[in-house]
Amino acid sequence: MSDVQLRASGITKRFQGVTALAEVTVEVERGSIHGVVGPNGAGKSTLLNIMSGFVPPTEGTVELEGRDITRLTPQRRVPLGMTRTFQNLRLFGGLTVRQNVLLGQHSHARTGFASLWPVPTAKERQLRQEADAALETFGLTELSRRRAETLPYGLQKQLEMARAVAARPSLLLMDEPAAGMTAQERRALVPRIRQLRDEGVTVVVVEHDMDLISQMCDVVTVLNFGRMLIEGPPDVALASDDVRTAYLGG
Amino acid sequence: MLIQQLVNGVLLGTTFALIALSFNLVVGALDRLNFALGETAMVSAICAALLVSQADVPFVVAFVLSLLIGAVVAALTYLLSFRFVSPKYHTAPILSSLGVGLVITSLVTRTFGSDQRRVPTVLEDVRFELGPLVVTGDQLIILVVAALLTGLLYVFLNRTTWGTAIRGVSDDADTSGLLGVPVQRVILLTFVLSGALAGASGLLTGLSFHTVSPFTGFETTLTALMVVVLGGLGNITGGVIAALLIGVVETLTVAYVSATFRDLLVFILVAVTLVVRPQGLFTRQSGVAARV
Repeated sequence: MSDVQLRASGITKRFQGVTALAEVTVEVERGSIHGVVGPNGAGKSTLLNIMSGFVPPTEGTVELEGRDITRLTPQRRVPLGMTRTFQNLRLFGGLTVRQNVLLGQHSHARTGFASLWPVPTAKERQLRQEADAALETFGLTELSRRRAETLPYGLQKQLEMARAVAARPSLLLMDEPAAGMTAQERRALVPRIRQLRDEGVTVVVVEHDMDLISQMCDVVTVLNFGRMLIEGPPDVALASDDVRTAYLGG
Repeated sequence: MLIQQLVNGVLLGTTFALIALSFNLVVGALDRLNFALGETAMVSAICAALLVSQADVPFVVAFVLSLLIGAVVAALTYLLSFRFVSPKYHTAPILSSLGVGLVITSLVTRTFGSDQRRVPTVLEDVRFELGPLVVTGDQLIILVVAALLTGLLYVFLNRTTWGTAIRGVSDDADTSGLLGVPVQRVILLTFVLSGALAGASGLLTGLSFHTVSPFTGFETTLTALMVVVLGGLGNITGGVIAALLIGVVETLTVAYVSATFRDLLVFILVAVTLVVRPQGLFTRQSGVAARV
């Protein structure tokens, strides 16, 4: 019996007559790394935006833990355990690296009036430890007092992931985490994301880099022209004839 | 005597710094100016002055009340002039907060009359003399309280969960929202803080001149605007430096030129700054015009 954490069913999205997604159904199992791949314009990012609440679907529903969240704003999905990262980084440039991570924890850290006081509550202390642990995981401890905008691009990507992880998500949606990273940074990414999964975080990742996807993911959904081509383990899904045609001949 | 005038100027500047901080907080959070902050300062100061001079309430208590009154008035201003106005209409909150200012002045004069109110000396017997330099007890109170409030604000913004949220919303409200920060509540909190600072600044200015008038609201707003433009819109450190600078310029003008030229010189200084460095003297980023 499978344990579906996120279910996007019958998702159709039309932008002014253009169909970006047509009746796509994706079920993300708890504790898995679920890749979404496809050529440019296949609808990957649109699907991620619908899952995270940035874009409403024209038809279809999104369910998290069996609850219909189709109409919830992204802000309201955060307390339910859903966090996402962005293809175009969305960091607070003027804030320090550590403050960026702490802001990601806001919905957990806030304890009414007690959070107006500089002495941290027990909960805040706990979260700050987790923030420091996340900085450590992503190799940012030394840089925690630097302003985020002064970091090179690769490290800003790491920071965005650290911020997402520190927010204690049960489901993390990642939009092209490897884009713009060096080969070395890409290699380091795989074990980090796997470690997250091992710690109990379900990960949905949209990515161009097929190598990365095949190394990292447990399940892959391949989209083409807004339709689902195939879904399955990466070695099976990525080897299918349809996928080869879509990428090479499509 | 120059050094005495410089000290007086800096002390005057500290009250300007508080009201400028108050403006800059709101600019940071919303990219908007709250034109009722001068009146917010005034109504807090009038209420506090009345309590001290007529009800014999201790100054400390009146001071705390001035913070609270400022906070409440600013929160109301937010709800009336900003909360429900679409961000598309840039001028609407300007006009509507100016209107709130007029209403506050009118309510104060109707309720308490249009007389000036006395703010009695707090530390009558305290006086510091350093050679020819004299600092009165009240001047010392102003300096210490202003420094304390600025320090507290700094700690709050950098060390607390809500303070970090204010800085986040200030930096990028959309992303803050996406991370689960309740943006509207954070903006309301920013208004509350800015109102409390305005209230404090009103009473401290009253203490420095020992009088408060119900008609100083807009003048305060104007001074704060000068400070904010000079220091760079939204630039908190720049605002403090500019406030001290304007305090010194005003004091020196009154002492060595003429009281009638007091504002004129400051306006010229600001006009020249707008032409030469529209982003403010202490900011390297975008110009004032781009942010208002």
